[in-house]
Amino acid sequence: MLLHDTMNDAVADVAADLSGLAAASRRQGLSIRRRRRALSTVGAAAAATVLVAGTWTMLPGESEPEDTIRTDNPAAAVTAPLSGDTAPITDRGVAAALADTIVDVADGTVTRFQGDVYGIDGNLDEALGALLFLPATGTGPAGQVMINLQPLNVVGKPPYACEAEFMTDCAVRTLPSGDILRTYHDNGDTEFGADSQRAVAELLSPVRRLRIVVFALNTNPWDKGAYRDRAVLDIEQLIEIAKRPWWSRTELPREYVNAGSQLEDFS
Amino acid sequence: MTDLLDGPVTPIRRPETFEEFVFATGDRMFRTAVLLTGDRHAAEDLVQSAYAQAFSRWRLVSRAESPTAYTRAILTRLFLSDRRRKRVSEVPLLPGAESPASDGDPAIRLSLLEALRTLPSLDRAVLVLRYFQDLPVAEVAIQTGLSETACRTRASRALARLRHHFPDLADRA
Repeated sequence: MLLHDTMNDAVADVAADLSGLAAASRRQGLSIRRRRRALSTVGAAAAATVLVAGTWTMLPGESEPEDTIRTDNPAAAVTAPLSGDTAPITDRGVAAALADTIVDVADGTVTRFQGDVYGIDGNLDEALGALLFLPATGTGPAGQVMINLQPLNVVGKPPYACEAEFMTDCAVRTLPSGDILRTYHDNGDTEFGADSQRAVAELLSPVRRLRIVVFALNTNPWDKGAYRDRAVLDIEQLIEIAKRPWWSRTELPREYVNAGSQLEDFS
Repeated sequence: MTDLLDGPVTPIRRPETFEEFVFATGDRMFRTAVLLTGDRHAAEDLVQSAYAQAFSRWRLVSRAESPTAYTRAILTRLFLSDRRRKRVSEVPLLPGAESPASDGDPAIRLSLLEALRTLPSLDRAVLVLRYFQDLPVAEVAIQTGLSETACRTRASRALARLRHHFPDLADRA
């Protein structure tokens, strides 16, 4: 009994859904390409660290960053998903996590990272991360994207509705998970100018006792007076970012915490 | 579709599109992944990740001497790196219902996959590449990151372990 024949017999009735495989691989491959392009204008060290933070990269120390691998060596092109391990949240980690999720949903480049983590009496309570995102298409300046991770009680008790006047095009729906998703636009903010536009996705999670607010502007707060015709991320993209299951006020995937510690262009 | 791109033979014609490449090579790549992982769902994830990597570099991959070998190398390294990190229990593979029935013995099919799962991941990869993909030792060494000597040693040791379950198992006719 030859091993070759035995192996063939073992998988003889196994077949792939080739159409589905081609389509899914293409989608996933496009996401990988977007991440590479987004890192092309970031400093080399930051590029390596955000690559490490990416959903499809190796853990630190286990492989060279993908961009440094010789392209004629296919055996070295290796990536892997997040491990599932977490670490206490850091300001830099939030920025790294936000950057990675943005380049996963949109084509463009990320710069000027910011973040903060604060609490009361030594207990981590809230966290935020921000950066500038320049879409690959369109004209105008980069726009700020920010995420806030807060206790749910800052918005009071349910029901959560579209009540405030500044919430235009507001919609509220309950997700299968029980989380509530509230989206809206907030234009002409007095802080950013009459031509400013802000797209907002707010996820309210009773189970996690967590409020996630992600918004994108059509302008750079440090370069006031220049605007794009729309926010740099749309509502659907912001929803994808807010829905990442690992957002928390107190911890992040370890890969992002590690990557954030080496992030350049952080202030 | 005739698989013009698999194996060590110089390809007669290159795939014109990524989709054509997947249709030409996908079944065999998937079966390789099933032998490596012993689990259909894990194999689906593995083969999709490998093709995604290939697509992300399609301009390079499509011009490689063997796009199939390139993608198979990615698949192997993904499997090996994933096995180093994960500590999840494996789900036994159920006989597939999507393709014409095989004439093979169901008891043998289930037992071989179980037997392969008892092997260290690197030994398993060496056996699958050497005896399912029929790759030369030098090629197996490149794809696994081992020396040729280490490949031969691991193959010999792994075969000896499989013979506990299949005493008549031979590597060559």
